[in-house]
Amino acid sequence: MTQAKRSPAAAPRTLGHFAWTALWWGIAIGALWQLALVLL
Amino acid sequence: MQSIPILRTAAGSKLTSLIRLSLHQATVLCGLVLVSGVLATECWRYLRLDAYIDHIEGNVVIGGWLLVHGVPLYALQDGITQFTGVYGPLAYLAVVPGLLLDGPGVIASKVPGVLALLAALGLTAFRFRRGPPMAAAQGLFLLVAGFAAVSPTSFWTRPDPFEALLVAAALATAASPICVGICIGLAVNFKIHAFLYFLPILMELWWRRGWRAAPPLIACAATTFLIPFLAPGVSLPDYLATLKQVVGGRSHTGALLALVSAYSVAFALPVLLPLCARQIPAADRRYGVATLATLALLAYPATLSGGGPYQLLPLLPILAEARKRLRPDGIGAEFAVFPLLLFAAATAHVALAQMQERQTWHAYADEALALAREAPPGTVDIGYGDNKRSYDIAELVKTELSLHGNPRWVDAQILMELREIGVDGSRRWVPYLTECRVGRWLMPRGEEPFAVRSHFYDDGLVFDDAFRAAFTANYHPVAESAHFTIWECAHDPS
Repeated sequence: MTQAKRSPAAAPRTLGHFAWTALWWGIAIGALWQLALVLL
Repeated sequence: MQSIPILRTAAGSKLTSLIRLSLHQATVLCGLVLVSGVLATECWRYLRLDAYIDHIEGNVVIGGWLLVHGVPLYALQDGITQFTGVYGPLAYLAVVPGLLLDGPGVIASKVPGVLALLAALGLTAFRFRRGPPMAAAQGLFLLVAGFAAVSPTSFWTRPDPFEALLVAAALATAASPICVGICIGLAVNFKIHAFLYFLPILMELWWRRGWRAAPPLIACAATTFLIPFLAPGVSLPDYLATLKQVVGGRSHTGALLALVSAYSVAFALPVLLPLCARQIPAADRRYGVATLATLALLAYPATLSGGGPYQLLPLLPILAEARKRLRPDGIGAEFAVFPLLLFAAATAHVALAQMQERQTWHAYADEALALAREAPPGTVDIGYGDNKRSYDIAELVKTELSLHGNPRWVDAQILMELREIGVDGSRRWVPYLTECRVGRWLMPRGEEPFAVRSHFYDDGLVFDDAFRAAFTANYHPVAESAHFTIWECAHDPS
């Protein structure tokens, strides 16, 4: 596959990308956990 | 992206594709369900609680109830407001249907506010039924999470839930300048600065229809704003005089800046991140930018003393609309509502604890009503003690007394507002004491009389020395009940 045909999904993953993803998963899971504690 | 095939049937690929969710989408739906459950729990507990959780709620109810019984709403006394704050007449009238339908009582007065919240949610969900389901879910997620993050202000007995409903209604009828004008007029009647919440709708209307939309919109807004002032007992000049005094004298407070900024960022992210993340149509980009600009503008009223993040609440339907249009994609944009859930968890925790603490408070009101029935109607009032808890209980008891034939003579809440603008409001009430116009005072037992402080502002004494001296000089304790000391006139009132 040439560079021009590469889709965005196939773009190389950087450290920043993983950090960004980990940050949002952390916030999401933390928030869901806190809300569940309120209901329980 | 990894997908979770929830259902595979031979019934067709359409149904399968509808419920085939990515992990991100499933997490978002999980958040939506959970935060809806928290908000529903709070509303239910609030409706079942026979007490208020804010000190102004009772005064709104008293104002509305006395107005429909012929007492002027914006009465001035020595040129300053007697009891009423900065809200327009609809803020007081909106709670009256609950009282008229179910009889005067605390729970009945709360029903309209909760219904307004549910109507705003229902109207938005109904409007979002068209279009991509996940974009609609993302919009709704922001709306519900935002309402939960500022709870209990999203369903309390003050103007905010009604304003959110009017903004949602304006969005539903955004193509019609007449309908938008009606919504703006009603909202501005609730609170004078409420036109700010409609700026993105107005921007879009102007973009599509130009200045032609202005005349019918302005005419309808002005007319609907003025109509409630035609009611007997509602004076527009007195309202404007009160507004000029109470709002004009206020200053910004740094104490609210950090909190309002944190909420503003949490409200902005769900629109800002999708706005940055992908190519979007120019009209939707414009709408998103206008929404964020309006949010920034609202920091001004929100940081005035007495304000707070709840001033941002009526913008939530517009933020939700912008998020739906921007169709969030990518983890940052899709998960941008989750920080709001952290606020929602914290506020729900506090609100539910407050409700738990106040469950037994109505016993004070029942006891006060029994003591009031022993005296001629209209001659009994509750006084104040020396701490915040007894102040909050006194505001609840004052509401029940006013709803049952003993209208308030004095009120500490309006004194706090007046004190904030440098006015000593208690001095004008000294003749009530020297002439023993109030036959019986119910004072919190074991507390120093009228030593309540301005807990929400500068912590100074609310009733001045002259008032307190007049009280102890003209009244003396005659009996005690479980929670109150009864003070009666120490000399012949004539």
